[in-house]
Amino acid sequence: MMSLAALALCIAAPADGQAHLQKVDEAINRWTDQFFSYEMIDHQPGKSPRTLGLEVHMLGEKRFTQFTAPAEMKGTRILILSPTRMYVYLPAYKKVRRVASHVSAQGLMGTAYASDDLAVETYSDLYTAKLKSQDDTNLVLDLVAKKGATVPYPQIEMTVEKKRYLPKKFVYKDTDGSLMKTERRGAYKCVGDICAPTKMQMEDHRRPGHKTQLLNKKWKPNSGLKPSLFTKRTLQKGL
Amino acid sequence: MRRFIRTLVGPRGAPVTSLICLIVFGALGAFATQIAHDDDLLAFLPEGHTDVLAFREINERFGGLEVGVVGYAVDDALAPSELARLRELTQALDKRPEVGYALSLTNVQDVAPDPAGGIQRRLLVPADGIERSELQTRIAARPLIHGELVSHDFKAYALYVFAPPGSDPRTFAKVVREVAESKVNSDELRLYGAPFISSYIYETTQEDLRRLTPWAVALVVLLVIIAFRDLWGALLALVAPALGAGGALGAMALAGVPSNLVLSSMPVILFSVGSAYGIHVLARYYSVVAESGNPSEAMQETLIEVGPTVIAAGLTTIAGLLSFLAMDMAPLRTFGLFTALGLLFSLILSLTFVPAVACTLKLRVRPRGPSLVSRATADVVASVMARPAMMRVVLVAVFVFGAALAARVDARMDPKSFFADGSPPAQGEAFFAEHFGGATYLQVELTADFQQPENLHMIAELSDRMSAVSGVVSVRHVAEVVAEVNKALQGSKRVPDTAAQIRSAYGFLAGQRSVEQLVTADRQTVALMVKLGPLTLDQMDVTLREIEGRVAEATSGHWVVRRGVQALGARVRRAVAAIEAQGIRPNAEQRAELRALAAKDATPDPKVVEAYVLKFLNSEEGLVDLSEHPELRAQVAHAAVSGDKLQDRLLSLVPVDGLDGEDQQTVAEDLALSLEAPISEGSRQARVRSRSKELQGTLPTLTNAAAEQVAYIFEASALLDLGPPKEPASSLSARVSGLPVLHRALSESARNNQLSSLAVAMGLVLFVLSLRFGSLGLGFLATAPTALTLAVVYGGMGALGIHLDLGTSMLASLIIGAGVDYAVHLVAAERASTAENTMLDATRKTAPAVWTNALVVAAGFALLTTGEARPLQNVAGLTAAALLVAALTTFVTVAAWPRAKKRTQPVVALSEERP
Repeated sequence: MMSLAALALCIAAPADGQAHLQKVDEAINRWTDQFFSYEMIDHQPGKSPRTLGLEVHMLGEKRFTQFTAPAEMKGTRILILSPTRMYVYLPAYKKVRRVASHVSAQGLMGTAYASDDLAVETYSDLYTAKLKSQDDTNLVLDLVAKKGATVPYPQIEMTVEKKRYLPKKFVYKDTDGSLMKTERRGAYKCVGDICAPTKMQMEDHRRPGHKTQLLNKKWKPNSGLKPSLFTKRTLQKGL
Repeated sequence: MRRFIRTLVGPRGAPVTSLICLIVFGALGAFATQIAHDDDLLAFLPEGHTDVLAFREINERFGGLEVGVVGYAVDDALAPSELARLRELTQALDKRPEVGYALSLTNVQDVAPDPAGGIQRRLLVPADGIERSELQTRIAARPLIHGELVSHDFKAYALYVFAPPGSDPRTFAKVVREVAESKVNSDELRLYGAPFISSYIYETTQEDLRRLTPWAVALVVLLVIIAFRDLWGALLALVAPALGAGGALGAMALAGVPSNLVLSSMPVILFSVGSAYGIHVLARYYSVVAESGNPSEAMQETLIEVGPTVIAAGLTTIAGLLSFLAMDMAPLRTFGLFTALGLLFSLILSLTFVPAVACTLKLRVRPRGPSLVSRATADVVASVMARPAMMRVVLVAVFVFGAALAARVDARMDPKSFFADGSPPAQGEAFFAEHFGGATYLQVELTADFQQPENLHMIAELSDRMSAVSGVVSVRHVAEVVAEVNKALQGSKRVPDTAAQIRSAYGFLAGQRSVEQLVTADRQTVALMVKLGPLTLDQMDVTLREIEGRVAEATSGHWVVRRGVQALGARVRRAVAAIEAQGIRPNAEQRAELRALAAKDATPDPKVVEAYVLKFLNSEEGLVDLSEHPELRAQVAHAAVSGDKLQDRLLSLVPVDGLDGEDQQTVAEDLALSLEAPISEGSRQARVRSRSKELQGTLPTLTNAAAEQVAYIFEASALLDLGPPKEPASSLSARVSGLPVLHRALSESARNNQLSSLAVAMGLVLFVLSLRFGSLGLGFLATAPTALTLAVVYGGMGALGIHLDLGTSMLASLIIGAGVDYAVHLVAAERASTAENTMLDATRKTAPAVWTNALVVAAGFALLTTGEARPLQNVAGLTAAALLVAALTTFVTVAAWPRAKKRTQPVVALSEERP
């Protein structure tokens, strides 16, 4: 009898996991547009912490990012219209350049975050989830990349806050299960039912001691950002 | 004193003394198991030396010491299967936490112009495949990659594997080797770089010592037993150095001092040298006990008679070892101090434990007649004494000749002296020399603001000047990398014109580990990586001096880009350096033409500018999409090169009702804004092309690329001249470092250590012996054989071309410490002799012990030469030879200077022939 129950649990688990993951996707994508002001602090062993400042406007899949620090990056603007259409404006060159990046899995500006880490918005379309464990407050989902899906991490162990379905921790793993990175998202701030973490941290296990904190200094969801913001004209002329 | 000795070895005292010694030294020795080991070979670098400090700082800043290089040959480095294997290896290394980062052809990031317009950030070798010809073109266009990560003939790969900061080089080297061997056949694999070399030296030396020390000790034991012809006596004499070694190591553990590589040889030294004291005591004891019959009384008499001489002999050896304290390397000081302590313990035990046990066990041996060695040595001494004047002349001549040859011994740290031909580091060195031109790097560190274009130009000029130096294979520097990024951003491979542009280019390079080897995060310090080909030591000296000369020129201030005539001169000089770096030497006439060309402004061809602007308009980067308006595109491109008031001209071209929903004015404004940078870039390119053509007219041998490079130099310096005066040199500082510089510092240190330890050892020995014999003259006489030995050994080194290095710089102290014993015993025996011919009598009495000891020490050290570790081979082989020479010179020298007998006290020879 017990064996049958266990078998039933095993069979039921993947479906449960996927349902949970869809709820996570739904919980983190309730916005139409967003504005973030981030402070990114990169820590590497033997080096002084490096701080980057960036402001990000998001409308659907479009993003307009403006660097405010450090001095060498200040004024640099990046426009992403789609995963394959990205433009950068470098004030020193006074020119908009289209950038085709084929190295999105690499560290963003030398930080523990990769461009891909900030680009993934939904998981249930890319991963198959299985409920690994749960307690009163948290769910732990084991995610495995779907066949053919282009993802930066073949496996993820995702810890989710049960009540609001907000992800708290991502343990990113390689195909062989070896640790790649650990990301923590916390101190969620909510406006209505739209929530965003105000503190995030990515730790790169392949570079011992390398971690990057992402502090959300300002956040405005659904403020009515106009499509004209996401154009090359704004990129060259500025906001 | 007599009472103390009686208490020590009396019938009741002897067992107690034995027990106390066993308990004290046994307990101290028990701590030896807790001793820590310091594997850091960098600890052998001389302290406080400017070059060593620079080496440490530069490597800490740029991580040069933490790089291991993995290489292997392949049939075709561009074959997809080989690239896949290289990628797997790189990823496997990257996954290991013991590895900080692995850089290979497969993970080099590239910022390049996109054929579809714009720029692309990509992997130089994409994982999803690429046409072979395209890949070859990509790689060949990158001098920082081609010849560095893949050989020029595409037959070999090199992976640069970076260790995490502060990691253990041996663990790192082991992990990298394991991972590499899982992907590449170990026979094909070649490993090089500091972590592999230091691990190899450490491991082979440790392995040799671990393997050979028991054999050396066993050989010593066997020889002592054979020579002494008394099993129990020989074993007893050897317990003293065994307990002494344990005690010294225990003391180190208690003091918290870690053991090191050199200290591993302590057991051999202590067994070889330290066993002599107990043997001398027992030899005399057997002689006395054979006559008196009472062991306790015989031992008391023995200790009174030979004790002072054994102490003097022991103190001279200890003095020799303590001279290591004058050296500037902490591990050698530790070696000297604790080996001296071990010998002191051996000496104490030889005068307490050994006599006490001998008395307790009532040891005695059957008397024997004079040995063959006694007779043979006595014959030699008699021969010397028959013609003392001639022998003195001969000995002085040998000393002078030896000293003259010794003066030729130069302190040269030859990296090859650390590993044998055919050893893994030698194979690695040969592999990288064959496929990549070399694997030895110099680092030139420059400090200034490297966000300023003039300073990056200075780097490029210095690089060109160094490239022309014989022996230099290539120079990597950040100006080259920034120029690559600029090519992607602005279309031309050159140092950007403004600090802001340079900062932007650096932004694209953030986080790239390969770039972190070349410039610090604050862009205030750069390292130029100068790769050297396989060079002899002499060639290396010349190359190093020339490079230091070039760097000194760079910091002297006359490379500053200035206005007017100076700037023109600088422009020509810079161009000549760039041309010479290509292996072309312009003659005087061509230089004059270059000067004329540099002086005049280039005239851009408007058609070239127009084509450039049109190309831009065809891209997706303009603010206005003219893809549907080809005619307008051409008109706009033409208008862009047709003079001032661009916006007005554009306004006249744009349809009245505007384009794509934007009004005419907005479209014209957007076009004007978009075209500002392309017009400027196009004009620059046109000027460069014009100058380039003229340059090739002057120097037809110049390739297109080289001509363009020189043209860019003219353009860039012309631009810089227009700006405010720059003063980069005032804040510029430079240092040259790298292994060749470090070896030079080590050589200086070896020479200084040799001189200081020699002076200290000889001074201390002379003091001890003068005190022992109560005569400065006798002190000199007893010291003279060692001085002659040193002249012979170092003269031999000079004749054979053996350099003074880290290992051989220890020789003098070891020779003085061990060799002077013989003269001490011979002179003491000669003074104590009551025979008619005191010298012959002393010779017969001491020869067996002296030759036994010389053979024992020589055999012990000679066995260590059979190992793989080259440093150990050199020092052990020379020490073995030196001890045999010391034994011979002792008898010959002392016999050549017979003295009028002056007996001050009844001293008896301590090493009488065996009864």
